[in-house]
Amino acid sequence: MITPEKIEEWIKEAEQRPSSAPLIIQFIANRLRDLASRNEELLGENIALLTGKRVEEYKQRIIHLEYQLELLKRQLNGELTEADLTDAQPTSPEPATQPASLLIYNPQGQVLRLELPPSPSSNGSWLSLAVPVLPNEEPLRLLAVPSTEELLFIFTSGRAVTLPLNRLPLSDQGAPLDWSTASIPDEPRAGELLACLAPVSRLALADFFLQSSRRGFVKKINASLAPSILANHFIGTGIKQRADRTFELALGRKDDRMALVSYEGYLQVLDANSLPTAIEEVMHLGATDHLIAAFILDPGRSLLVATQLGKLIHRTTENMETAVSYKTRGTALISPSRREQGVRVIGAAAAGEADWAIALHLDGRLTFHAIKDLFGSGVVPTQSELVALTVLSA
Amino acid sequence: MGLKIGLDFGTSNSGVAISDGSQVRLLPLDPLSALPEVVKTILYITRDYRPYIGQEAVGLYYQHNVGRLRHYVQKWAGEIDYRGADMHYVRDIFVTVDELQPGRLLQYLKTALRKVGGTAAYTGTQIFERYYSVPDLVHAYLSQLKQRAEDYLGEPVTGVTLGRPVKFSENPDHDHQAEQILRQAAEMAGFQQIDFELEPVAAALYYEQTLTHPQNVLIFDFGGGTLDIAIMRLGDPHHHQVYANGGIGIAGSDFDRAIIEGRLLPHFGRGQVHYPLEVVELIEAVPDWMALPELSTPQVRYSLEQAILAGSAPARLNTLKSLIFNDLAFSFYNQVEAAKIALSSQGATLITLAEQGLDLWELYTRAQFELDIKYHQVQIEQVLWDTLAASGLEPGQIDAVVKTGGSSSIPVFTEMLGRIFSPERVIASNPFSSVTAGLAIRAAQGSV
Repeated sequence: MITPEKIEEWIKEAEQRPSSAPLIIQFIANRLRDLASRNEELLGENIALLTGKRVEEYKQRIIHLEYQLELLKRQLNGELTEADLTDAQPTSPEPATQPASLLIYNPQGQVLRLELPPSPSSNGSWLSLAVPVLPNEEPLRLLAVPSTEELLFIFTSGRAVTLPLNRLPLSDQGAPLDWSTASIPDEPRAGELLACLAPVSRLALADFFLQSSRRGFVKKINASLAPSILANHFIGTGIKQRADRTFELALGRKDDRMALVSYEGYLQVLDANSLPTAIEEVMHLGATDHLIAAFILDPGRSLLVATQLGKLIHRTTENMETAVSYKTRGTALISPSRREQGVRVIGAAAAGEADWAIALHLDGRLTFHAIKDLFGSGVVPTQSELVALTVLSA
Repeated sequence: MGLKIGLDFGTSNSGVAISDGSQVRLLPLDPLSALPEVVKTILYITRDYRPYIGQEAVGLYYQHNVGRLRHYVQKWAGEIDYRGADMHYVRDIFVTVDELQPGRLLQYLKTALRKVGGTAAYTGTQIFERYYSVPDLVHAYLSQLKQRAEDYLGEPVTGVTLGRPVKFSENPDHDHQAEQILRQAAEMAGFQQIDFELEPVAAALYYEQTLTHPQNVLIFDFGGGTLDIAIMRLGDPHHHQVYANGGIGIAGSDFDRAIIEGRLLPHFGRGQVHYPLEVVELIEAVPDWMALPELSTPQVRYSLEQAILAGSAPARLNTLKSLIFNDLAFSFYNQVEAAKIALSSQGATLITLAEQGLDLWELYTRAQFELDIKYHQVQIEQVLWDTLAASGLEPGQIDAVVKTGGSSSIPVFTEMLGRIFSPERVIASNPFSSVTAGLAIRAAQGSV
């Protein structure tokens, strides 16, 4: 706020003490530069308003929010009313314990859903799969999420279908688990495979989708496009090379960092906001390597990486360097000699001390482990080899 | 028998020193501060009633409060009896409190001592479920300072010489009451042997150590809360005389207030926009460091939002809303104080606060500052002349004018002293520690 009286007073200061004049000029010049830049932004905004572009954007945003509201209603089984929304009060910081499910799925679109104990009290064996898990077959994937989640089934053709998790039938945990008891919620079409299941109930809080491919390519998609993606059931393949395949989809926010972990034990940490919207290689993998995990590094949590021998690599995220170049394969998590000996990564995730890890062993056993114990011991005990590992957030 | 220290409980800064009779040691009790021997007179009391002082208090306050969640609840505060000629009924009173508030920050504790007695007396404050009276607040601060001193010295401290201004209040009863409160707080903090020395006299004792021959000295102790003047004969062991004492309750915090009222309230629309009365009252509360943090209630938010919706200078009211509801009061006062300090060494500075939707920018010059405090300057010069007259000495008979305290560095006062006594007789003593050091000397003299 600059008034003529103030300008007079500044001049008076400069006259009384000429040494003050350069300082005053500098302060005013800096302010002018700052205001000019803001003025340009406001003029741009004005043009956007006059041309209707901003109105169009807000309309899109409203459609997007309406979709999110619909998702929330479905999560609460239609129990959400207008009154609930208007009377919304800040909730207690203590999260309510909610039922969780473990999903085991394969590229053929078969999904086994197991209900997880509400508060696991001990580590160790939990269930066994009757079918043998062969290391060279198409890998099985694990996903542990709350049972109220909304899932996005993403296929290698770029097709995307949403389904509330609680609509998947629960597998009978008393009987032997094999693929004959699995459900196929959406059968892959000719030539396509199920690439991944992505939990999307927090889409309203996300700024974009981060789609990654097995060969280290990433595409960032603005979350405002979600209604269109979901209405058209198509998100795109996210691949550039014929030999590549869609791998994972994560929801990110502007301040997030994304971690990519490869089978041969390399880690690339990326600033989510600066990721490209076009499909681009962000991790230069060797010919025999591919991604094994792609996820958001939540602040305050650690990176947990497991090898097939059950050895764990634990890194805190605070001091993890964000990659400045996409031309590298990232930081090595395991030594070259161990890599030569055949040590490979089978799973990685962001984990907190209160979380639980679920490991799938080659002999078909599923085991439960408190993360804080794993941080301490540095190993998942296994009688064979590990095939996959996932983390259930507390 | 424990040690005896000198403790300067200042309005903005405090300090502790100890003397063995020949050498004074200032204790570095605030390792987080740029000057470790200067401890900010800031008290932060957390929800579990733990007190923190100095830079640790400031750091915790920011850590706990910036960007935090709030949740307001209505709490029963008491009841009021209404009695009329033919009716009597009782009404419950509720207050709105933020149940997620992690702590309370209090500064200018010494100012509370200046406000004891009278109709507008400040008696204390409610902190969560406990009521803290003024002695409780001062005790919380002094006990932390004592603990730090004991930790540093490795020995118990049982005695203290506390500094006090020449006048806490113009009213002798209130003045005595303020000293009693300070004594009571010191006793509660665990000091067994407590005595007082006037702050300017303490500064004089420190200065006296540098003298080789007797002098008539005027001490101009100008800190955050008061101006204290003492005219003394120093350097002569056979003739130690205080000719006159004087003082006035004007100092750094009043200048901060003058800056806020003159330069920053217009940013919220004061004097320029016709607001509803409740909004005017909110703006008028901004210079009051005790009132501003208390304004973040749902009712105030509602009033402001209504005024913003009504279109009465919405941008300025939004600035006010952001100041109140983002816990920026402390940053705001710090910016003002920093600008005041900067103007002691340069001709112009900026008062800026650009965060959380707030964009405050004020180019402030020394000429403007001198204009804003002109009224106070006239009063101060009058007190100086009055004290000089009471001493029976002429300006030419004063051999040295020793200025100390943070506000004594303000150029307009250095010029004033130079004009009256001649510039070469004006000597700058350590602005933050000369009183502390003098109190330690007095404590050592008392222990002998």
